[in-house]
Amino acid sequence: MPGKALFALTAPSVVLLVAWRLWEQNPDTAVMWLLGIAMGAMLQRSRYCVAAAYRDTVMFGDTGLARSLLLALAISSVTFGVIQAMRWPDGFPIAAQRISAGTLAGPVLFGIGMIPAGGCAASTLLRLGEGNLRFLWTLAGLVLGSLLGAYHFGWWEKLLGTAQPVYLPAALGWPGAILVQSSLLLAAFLVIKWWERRGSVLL
Amino acid sequence: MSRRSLDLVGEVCPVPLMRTSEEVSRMAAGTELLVETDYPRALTNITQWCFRHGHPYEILDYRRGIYRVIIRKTP
Repeated sequence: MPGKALFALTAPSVVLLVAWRLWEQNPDTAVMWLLGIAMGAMLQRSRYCVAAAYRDTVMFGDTGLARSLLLALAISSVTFGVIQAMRWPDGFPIAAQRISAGTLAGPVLFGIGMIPAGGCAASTLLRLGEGNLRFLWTLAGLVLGSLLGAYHFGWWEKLLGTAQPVYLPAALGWPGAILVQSSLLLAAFLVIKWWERRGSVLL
Repeated sequence: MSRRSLDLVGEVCPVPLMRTSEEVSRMAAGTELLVETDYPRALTNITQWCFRHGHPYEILDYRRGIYRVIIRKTP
C-alpha cells in the first residue's frame, strides 16, 4: 500500500528532524519530544485506555486493563522511587504541593466526566491523532476545563482549605514507604481478582 | 443460518459492547451477528467479551477505518 509506505518513510523523518532542531536549542526538550512520541505510539498500538480500565471492570467485569494499570503503577513506583531517592530525596518537585478536599473530589468528577467523553486526557489526544474528529469536542472541553480550573484554583483552595501532603519516604523511611505502597497495590490487585472471579458486573 | 447486523460506526466506548451484548442476548443460539465499528478499543472489548462468554468470533476485515466482526451465538 503506497500510502502506508509513504507514512512509514515521512513520519520518522519528521520526528527526527524536529528532534534535531530541538536538540540545538535544548537537549532536554528533544529527549522529552522523543519520549512523548514513543509513549503516544505505545498507547496507540496497545489500545491502552485508563478510562476503560475502570469502566470495563465495573460495567463488563473485564479486568485485563485494570490489572495492567496496577502493574504500570507498581513498575513506576519502583522506578520513580529510584529516581527520587537519587535525585530528589526530599520529594519530587510538583508545582502545587498542597492537598485539600478538592484532591479527593477532583478525580471523582474527572472520572464521571471521562466515561461519557470516551477517554482520559492521553486517550483523547491519541484518538484525535488516529483521526477520530469527535474527540475535538472532548479536547475543547478538556482545554476549557483546565483553563477554568487553573484560573479558579486559588479560590477553591481558599474555600476548601489546604494541608501539607504526607511524603511517605520522609514519614516512614524508604523501606516503609515501599512496603506501604506495594501492599496497597497488592490489595487493589486482589480485590480486582476477586471481582473478576465473582463475575461481577454493576450494570 | 440467519444473520443479523449491528452498525456501530460513530459509537464510542462503552456503547459498542453494550449494544453488542444486548443484541447477542436477544438472539437465538446459532444465529450470527455482523458488527461494524470504527473504534479500535471497541474491537478489543467486543472480541474479549466474546472469548470470555464462549461465543466464537471472526474479524472479517478492516477497510476505510471500519472493522467488521462476525459473532456466532452459542447456547
